[in-house]
Amino acid sequence: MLKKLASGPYLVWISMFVIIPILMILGFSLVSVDSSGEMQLTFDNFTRAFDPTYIAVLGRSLKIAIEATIICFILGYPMAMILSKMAPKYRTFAVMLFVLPMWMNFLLRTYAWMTILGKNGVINGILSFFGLPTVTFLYSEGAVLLGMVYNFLPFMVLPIYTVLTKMDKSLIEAAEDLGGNKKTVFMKVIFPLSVPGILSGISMVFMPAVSTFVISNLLYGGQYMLIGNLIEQQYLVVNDWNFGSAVAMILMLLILISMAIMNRMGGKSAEDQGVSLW
Amino acid sequence: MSDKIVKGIHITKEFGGVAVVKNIDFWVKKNQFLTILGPSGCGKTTTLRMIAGFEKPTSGQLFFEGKDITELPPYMRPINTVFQKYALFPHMDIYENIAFGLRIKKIGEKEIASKVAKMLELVNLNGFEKRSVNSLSGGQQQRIAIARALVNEPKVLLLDEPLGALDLKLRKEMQIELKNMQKELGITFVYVTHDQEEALTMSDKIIIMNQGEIQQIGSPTDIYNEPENAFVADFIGESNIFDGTMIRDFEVHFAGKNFRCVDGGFGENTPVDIVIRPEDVQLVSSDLGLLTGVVKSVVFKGVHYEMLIKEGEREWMVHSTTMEPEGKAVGILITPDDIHIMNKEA
Repeated sequence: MLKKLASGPYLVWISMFVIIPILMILGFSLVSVDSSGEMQLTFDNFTRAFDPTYIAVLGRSLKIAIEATIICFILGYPMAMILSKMAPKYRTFAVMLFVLPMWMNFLLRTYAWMTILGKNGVINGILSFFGLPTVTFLYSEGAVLLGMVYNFLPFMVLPIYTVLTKMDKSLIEAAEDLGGNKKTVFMKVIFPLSVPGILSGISMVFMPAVSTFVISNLLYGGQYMLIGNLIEQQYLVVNDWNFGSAVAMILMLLILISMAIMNRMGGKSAEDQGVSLW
Repeated sequence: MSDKIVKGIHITKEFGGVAVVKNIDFWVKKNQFLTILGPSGCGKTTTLRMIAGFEKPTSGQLFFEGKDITELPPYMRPINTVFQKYALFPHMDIYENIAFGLRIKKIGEKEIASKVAKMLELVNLNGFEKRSVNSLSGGQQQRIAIARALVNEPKVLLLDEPLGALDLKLRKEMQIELKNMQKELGITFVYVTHDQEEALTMSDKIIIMNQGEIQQIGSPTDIYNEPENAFVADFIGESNIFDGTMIRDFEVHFAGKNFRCVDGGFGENTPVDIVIRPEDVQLVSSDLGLLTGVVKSVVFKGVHYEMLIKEGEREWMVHSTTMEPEGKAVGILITPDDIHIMNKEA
């Protein structure tokens, strides 16, 4: 009884701020308004989203998000290893240093990259100081990728770091005891046991990366670069909420499917250790 | 060649400047069941971990079959360990857990399969190959941990309080099983425990440690009957320990009287510890005893009664199959054989 009562506020919260908004977006996406101002139930918004131009945007979003996730993983795993191996008294400090930039505003951090990468930015300043030709880094796919990796790297490192520090050290010792050298111990024990951390790291990087519009707005320019920009434009510029909602629904479905696939892939080991994301 | 398979010389281990193991010397003979016994924090697990290679001695040397292995990493030592909390790999099934060491040695799949099956039979868990670690009870996990270590045919098996988490009945069963396995396979066992009964039951030889130092090395009977100091006497079984003075050889003074005893060589008028086992004390009617006291409490322990007798300022613990009621005046009788004299610790 008490349990039921206690869950009340959360149910209200979830329905008001999660379920109802999603239903509203779904409603918008299934409706179109013709020139006479009349509303009609239709799938047109969805069929329109499969226009090659938009498919290209979607493809690019997925590609960049996957690239960012892979780079974050390649950089993040060794980082998490190094952090988890530090002596406890330095470790907390190192993790704090690592998280520190996250305390600053996300926009501000991304703006900072504009001044670093820009035509008259820091890097070009250094290059021209040595008499080298300047390069335009800004407004390129690479700049967006860099922005994503920079902003989302901590989300990859932290879950892996947590899994690694929580790992039962006697398992590692047991593997050494049974004849495993450092490489074997890592491949057969440490890495497989850190899979749940890797999975949650991947989701926490991939999800914001595939849906971001701020990073691409600032570091690429106002084009329909990523699916996030497309949605933003439909809402704020073109004022076509119905089409925007349809694209948003497609994006949500895509994330859902990719998460489900990933969960299936690593689900068993995650469940065994009770650290499954879902 | 010497039959000492593992030998430690002047081994000291410090953690952050604090010595946990202090300059100990020990050896393990081939096919011996050696137990390192002591209270928690005495350095017994650290000693075992140094033999396994997980810890490096701060100073001293460790030999295996005459070769210096002090600097050898764990994976290069022909020694396997059974961990206190089993440490089975949760991401592998039972088969893969046991096969772990064999796979590293690149042994053929057929041979692995037959060895794993043989091990499962040895630990009485036939047919458990495909089970997951989490579906096993503590006792079963412990057996798998033993199988996983033994399948590598180590020359020495280290066991770190392997039965600590099991209930009493299971523990007793496993004690017998482990002892049988050790005899059958002819593998040297080094066993760490804080349970003195376990140590007495299973061991060929016991090393008793306290505060990082070895207190006594000997067979279970030696240690029980001839404890070298009051700590050992108290730790191995329950004991009455009294202050006394050695008047001369074979005569000791305590509880206000002189007693004949069988020990000598302590010098004259030397303060000593007197240890008397509770089961060696006889209770008689008060006029027949060497000393008299009053029964303070009686506890039934199953096989015997445990009684506390107040005698002067001292309390005597007495184990007897006949009960004396609380408050009764009784006589205490001891024979010279039952009085164990020990040097006072510095």
